[in-house]
Amino acid sequence: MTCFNSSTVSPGRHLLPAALAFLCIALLPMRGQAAPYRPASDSVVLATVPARARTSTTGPRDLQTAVVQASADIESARTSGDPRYLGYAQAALAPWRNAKDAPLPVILLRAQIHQHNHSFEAALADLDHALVLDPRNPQARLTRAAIQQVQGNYTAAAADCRSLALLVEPLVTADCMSRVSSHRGAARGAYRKLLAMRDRAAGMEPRQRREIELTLADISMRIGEIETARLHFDQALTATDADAYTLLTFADFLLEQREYRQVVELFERYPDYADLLLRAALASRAINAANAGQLSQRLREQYAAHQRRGDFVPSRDYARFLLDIEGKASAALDAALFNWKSQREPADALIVVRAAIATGQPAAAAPVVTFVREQGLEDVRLLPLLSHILPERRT
Amino acid sequence: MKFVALALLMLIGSQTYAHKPSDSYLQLTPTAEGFTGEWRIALRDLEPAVGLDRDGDRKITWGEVRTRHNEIANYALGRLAIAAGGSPCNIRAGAQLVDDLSDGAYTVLPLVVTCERNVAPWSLDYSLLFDIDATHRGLVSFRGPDTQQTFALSPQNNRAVLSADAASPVQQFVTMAREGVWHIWIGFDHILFLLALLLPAGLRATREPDTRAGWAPLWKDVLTLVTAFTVAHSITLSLAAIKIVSLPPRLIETTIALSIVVAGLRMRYAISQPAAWIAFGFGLIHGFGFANVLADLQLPTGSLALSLFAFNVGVELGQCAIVLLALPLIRYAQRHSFYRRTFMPAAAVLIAAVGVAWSVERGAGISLSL
Repeated sequence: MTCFNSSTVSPGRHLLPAALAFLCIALLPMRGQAAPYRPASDSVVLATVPARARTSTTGPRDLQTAVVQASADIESARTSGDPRYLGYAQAALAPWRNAKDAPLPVILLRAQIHQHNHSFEAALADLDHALVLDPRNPQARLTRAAIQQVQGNYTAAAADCRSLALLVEPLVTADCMSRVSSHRGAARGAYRKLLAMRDRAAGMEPRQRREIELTLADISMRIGEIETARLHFDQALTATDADAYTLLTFADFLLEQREYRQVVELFERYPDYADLLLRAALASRAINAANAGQLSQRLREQYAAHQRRGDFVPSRDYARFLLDIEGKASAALDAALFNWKSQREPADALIVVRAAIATGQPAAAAPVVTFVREQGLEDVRLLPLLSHILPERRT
Repeated sequence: MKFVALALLMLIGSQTYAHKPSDSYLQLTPTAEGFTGEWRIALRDLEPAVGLDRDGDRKITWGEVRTRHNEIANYALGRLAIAAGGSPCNIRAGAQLVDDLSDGAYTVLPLVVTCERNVAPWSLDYSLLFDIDATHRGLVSFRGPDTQQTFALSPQNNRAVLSADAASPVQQFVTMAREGVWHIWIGFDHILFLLALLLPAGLRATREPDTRAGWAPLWKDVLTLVTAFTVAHSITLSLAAIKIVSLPPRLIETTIALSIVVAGLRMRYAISQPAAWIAFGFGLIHGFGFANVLADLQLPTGSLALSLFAFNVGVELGQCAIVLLALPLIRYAQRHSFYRRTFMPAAAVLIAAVGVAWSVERGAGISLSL
């Protein structure tokens, strides 16, 4: 572009007719991103190093070290929400990862990496293989139960939960069972059972307590017990240090309660948790905060940058972004339906239904309606919307 | 304790990652010797690789980055190889800057790639961070004058090959010609200079058009004028483009402004003096002005002559369009005494005044906000 070319702009060009100036301004965005700069002083802070930053740069040579390192990386990915750690874990396991006869610990870690990347079929294949090698492996059972539950395959998930009973302590089995049965029309019973077991258990490890409290909060939310859910979230948040998944589910809870200022505050306290950006952008829009446009723009740029990698998969968060921020209902519906093919949690159902209503094509949500009916899925947020779609729906 | 660690695995199936995995962005633009480019690498990614946070306060400051520029450049350049025609090219990194992208701060390495034999095919081997992070991607884009090729390089696919026929000669020609047209149209100073010479065309000392001669005197004046201007600026444009002569941009811009003053004054006071000499003399200077623009456009590799010619053709076409638009109007207006007695002198003064203002601005480097 010749307009505003650094070395040829001379002051006399101020006379350019307004139309040309306008043309140049219109062409400016084509010039790409913000310009590189030299920070004003040495003390300018450019980035923060996460608490769990990786320090070792050389890949481990022996299997034992590699497995320990990869497990720590996967835990870091879970806590921070930063998928870089999954990349670190894969690199640590690289020498063994693609081997057909990979050792059991590698297969299990590989399955978890697939699970985090939402490659559920690959994860399930690995877990099936692991359970052939070691049918009593509790970790393989638990991971498989979690995936099957997310996929809405409740019967298979319940079977895996049941077979945990003799392998792990009762509270873990109860947590697994409650999560599954609460989705199948037995939410209140599941809640009571898990609560009773939690009260009886002594000396729970903090992360395990957080896990149980989140299950209780999730069930409470789905049956409309808002204040109970809030109490469980409080427990979960204080059980351990900040954790990406806890923060994001709590932010979603606050959004549903229209407690927008708390969402914004949460993001201000934990700016490094990228999952909170979408929630903060939605909340700022709702209260017309000054930085609402800026947050949306950051989100937009992040999605655009991710798409340039060539491995972008539409998620339910992306569908929410399209629907609630971009106002692109039909693109949101496509994304939500794509996501629904692999993931069938109530939140995944919710975004399909909302996008279908927004596009004026309630029939597009038919797969979700069928699923909810067949499974007896319980969720107070979902049912009113479904009746919207099918006024004649019988219960 | 074994159970405790297991309990954590239950929830996570639904965890989404709003974070984007790690990417670096490498942009390369072809030059006569190879490429110039910019490589953006996240500071967040350099931390485990190079160890930027020296004082361990979990904050990466500009000071910590600035003092490690050599290590960063060595680390990065050790993981990038570019070859032309099968033989390796030399890559040098300039002074680093910082860019804030949507997912954090990146260091920006300016690159100059010099290839001994700068011929096709160009290949790029990338291995930055792959040993640490298997999901890292190198997003490489080659930006030709009118083509762009992009690659997402991964550990499995870590080589990019730039196809040789990035732009056909015809495409290159059209692109450069278009740039030439565009430049003369937005180059208001060139237009003003040309107009100041055109307006009195066909008039003589009497300021009376020779009505019996019809279009002939007008055409003759315009043709000599345009030819003189074209020949002159073609000479200097070529000399400057092949780097035989080079003048400071400020001197060029100021002289161009002065040329407008002269053309304006001639219109007012010395209409009988042939415009061709003025057009030729100052055309030389305008040619340097065009060359500055050409230098800013990244010329396609190995086709300098073609680009130069195409750009010049574009400038001529743009100029012809202006002449063809202006001539009928001038011819029509010249019949009226208003044109000769009022419009011409007023236009002359106005043009000269604008020229003076630009000269002052450009000469003194100040802005009068005209």
